[in-house]
Amino acid sequence: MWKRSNSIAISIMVILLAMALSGCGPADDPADDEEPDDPRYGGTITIGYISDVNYLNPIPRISAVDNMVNAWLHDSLVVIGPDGDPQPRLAEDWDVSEDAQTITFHLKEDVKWHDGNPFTAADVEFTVYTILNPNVESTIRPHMASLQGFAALTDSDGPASPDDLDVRPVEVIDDHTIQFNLSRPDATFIPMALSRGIIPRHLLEDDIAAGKDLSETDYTLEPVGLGPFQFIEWSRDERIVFERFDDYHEGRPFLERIVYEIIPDRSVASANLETGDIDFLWEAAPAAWSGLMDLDQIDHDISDGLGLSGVFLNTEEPPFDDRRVRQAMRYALDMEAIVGEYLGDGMSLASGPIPPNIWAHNPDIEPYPYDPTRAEELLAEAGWTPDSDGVMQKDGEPLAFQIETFDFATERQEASIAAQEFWTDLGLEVDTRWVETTVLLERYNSGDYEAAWVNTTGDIDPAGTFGRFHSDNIDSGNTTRFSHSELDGILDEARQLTEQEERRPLYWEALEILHDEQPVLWAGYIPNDYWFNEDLTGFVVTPESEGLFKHLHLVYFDR
Amino acid sequence: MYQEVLERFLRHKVAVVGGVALCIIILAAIFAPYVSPHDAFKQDIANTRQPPDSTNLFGTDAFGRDVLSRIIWGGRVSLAIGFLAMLLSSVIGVTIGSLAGFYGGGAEWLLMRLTDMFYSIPALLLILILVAVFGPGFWMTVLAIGLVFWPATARVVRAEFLKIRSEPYVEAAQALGASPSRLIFLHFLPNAMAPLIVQMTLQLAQAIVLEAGLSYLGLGAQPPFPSWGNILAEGHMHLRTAPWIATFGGVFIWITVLSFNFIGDGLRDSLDPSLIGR
Repeated sequence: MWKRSNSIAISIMVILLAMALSGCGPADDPADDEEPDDPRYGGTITIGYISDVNYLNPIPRISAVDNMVNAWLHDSLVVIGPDGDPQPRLAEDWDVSEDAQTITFHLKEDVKWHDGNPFTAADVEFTVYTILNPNVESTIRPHMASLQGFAALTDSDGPASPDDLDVRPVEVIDDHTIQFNLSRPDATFIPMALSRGIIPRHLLEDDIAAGKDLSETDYTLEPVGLGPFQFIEWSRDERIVFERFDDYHEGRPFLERIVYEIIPDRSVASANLETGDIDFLWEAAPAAWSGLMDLDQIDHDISDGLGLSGVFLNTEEPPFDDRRVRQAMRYALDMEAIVGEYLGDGMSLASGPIPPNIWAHNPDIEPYPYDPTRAEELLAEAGWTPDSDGVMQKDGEPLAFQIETFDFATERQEASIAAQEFWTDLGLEVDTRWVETTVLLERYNSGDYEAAWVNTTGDIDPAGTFGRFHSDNIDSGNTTRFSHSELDGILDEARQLTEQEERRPLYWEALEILHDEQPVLWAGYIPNDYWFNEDLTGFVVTPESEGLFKHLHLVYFDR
Repeated sequence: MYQEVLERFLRHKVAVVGGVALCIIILAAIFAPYVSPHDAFKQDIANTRQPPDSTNLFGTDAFGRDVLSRIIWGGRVSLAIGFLAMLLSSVIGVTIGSLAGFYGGGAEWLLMRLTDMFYSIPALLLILILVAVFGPGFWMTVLAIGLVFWPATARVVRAEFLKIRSEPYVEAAQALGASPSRLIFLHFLPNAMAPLIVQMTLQLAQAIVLEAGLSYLGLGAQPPFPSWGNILAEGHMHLRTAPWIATFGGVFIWITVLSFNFIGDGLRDSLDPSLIGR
């Protein structure tokens, strides 16, 4: 099993090592067996990114990098297309019943696992039950909440067996037909729950039956998937190598190899792209954008995304359990200046969690203005008064907190330092701290933090994004630990509806509440940015930032 | 004798230049609030990354702060960490080295093996572990560097004590019934001072470099407090668009460390007892 390193020391050593090694990236494989008839075949793409994956397995989905790398290795029933709607992938097509509670998928025939075994409906059934299994760590589970028997199957004090249920959530009709039974209509089920990778029953059934988490299985060391590229080797914190899978069901991929190169320092990564040591860079440091744009040999694609940058507050603990303090924190910031100066040219000021390219966005809500006077008034209302040094006090305690962000995220570090100054002017005592990625993620997900400048990837359906503020999800995605009964009610009601026109007014109301409550001091909407060797072509850009990686089999070198 | 040492030091031209440069830097750091031309902490988002001009001699940083003022204030942090770490390492090193060198035997064996043990741990690794466990900050940096440097001092002191132990004046004092503490403080330490002073000077320079390295990795002085290391670190992100931030930060580390090394050289030559009286 992989032990997640939680020591700054180790990660720094790794950074030093990686910096020493990054100058010597691998050259293109000379042994490419060129297709004489089609010059598009062949070539190695080297993709650089700041961190290693947590799991070569599509189920846990800890971070964006997991989503990216697993997209090459694994495949799903549907994928999100450029228009944001689900398209069939492992499925031929699907039928939805009149009451929208029975969904039947017809699977493609002759699809093979990388080890040559046939893919069948039993693999899909196995994947769904694995995600529902409370012993297995998975961030997909909440998206399956509308399945029949969800509560009983996911009960951590002794989950029910599907055999005990009146209606099974998944039924295998035959080898290539599978039926999902929902307890209520759910517009998000197909795009959110079925766009995730399928895992092989023949390799994992015994381990899961033995009560293991996926991270404890040998499978994570030698993963076998259905995706366009198969696993070759993984040097932890260094690189992962994939090779094309000739029997891929959408046709043989053009690229021969993918080398995933871990480059912890983003300014080094930009330099590596410039010198041709890597061919593709995702999420370049904002400070590097202008330099990269000037280069002729580098193409880029920047488009509206779903991601969001902001200061996440732990609303469970004082002082941020008081809405007025959170509002004051936001009024005290000249967020427009911070976003423009530090978070990059491509980012636009955010008013809430839903970006303008999503139908649930509420254009009537304006971001908070910079208003330090209003901030002082709000703190006074909440009972905070300045002492002789100007530090805000209440019951003898200063208004002090620590804002953290990731050690690689230089732009968020700068934004935090700029915010620190605005908050100090208001009379708050603010410390900044930069933390190693896995350490901070673990604390942030478990509520062991005060304030953190975090970028989140949004969900293609707004229900997923809103779910992060539902009190049911305090330990599974609601990282601000925000609890608001009126909001819960609105979100529950919206969940039952399938038509956008019916859902929109409810979500607009939800956005009003979140705007007023400020569990997150929303900063900016993050664009999707990809930077690549000008010879590469064929990318498919979708609203999901990692969506591009689900279509990598269509990419080729046009030399 | 001191007269002679001073004269010999003043003949060492490079050491004198180093001394003068260092005096200016140290005085500027001590009187930072009076000599820095601007507020080193006041951010100005409308005025970020401005190249050097007549108002901001060294330009402004990514937060619109005056780079010169931050370097002057940063000198406080960097020099203070250097001095304090050097002091800490000297206190531990001299104590352990003296006890080992003075008593010899089993005590010496034990103390020197402890020294070897600390010596064998890679410095950066020990510091990273300490900072990872206890969190970064001013005092942690001092403690970490002090803990890494003392074994070298202990060895120097012990080696000197071994030499002194067999000197006739020590045997004479012992014969007169002098107590161990009297022997150590009146006879051993003063005679071990010359190499110790040189060692301390060089360690100070190393400590400043190490502090810069730690701050560069984000493990030293914490924002918004400037140190030369974190000025360099903050500047490195903007090397393309604002090279002056990192450049001036680096130049000051360079001048200071070079000065300390020159002074160390000068002291070594002028304090060398084999040359005294010639």
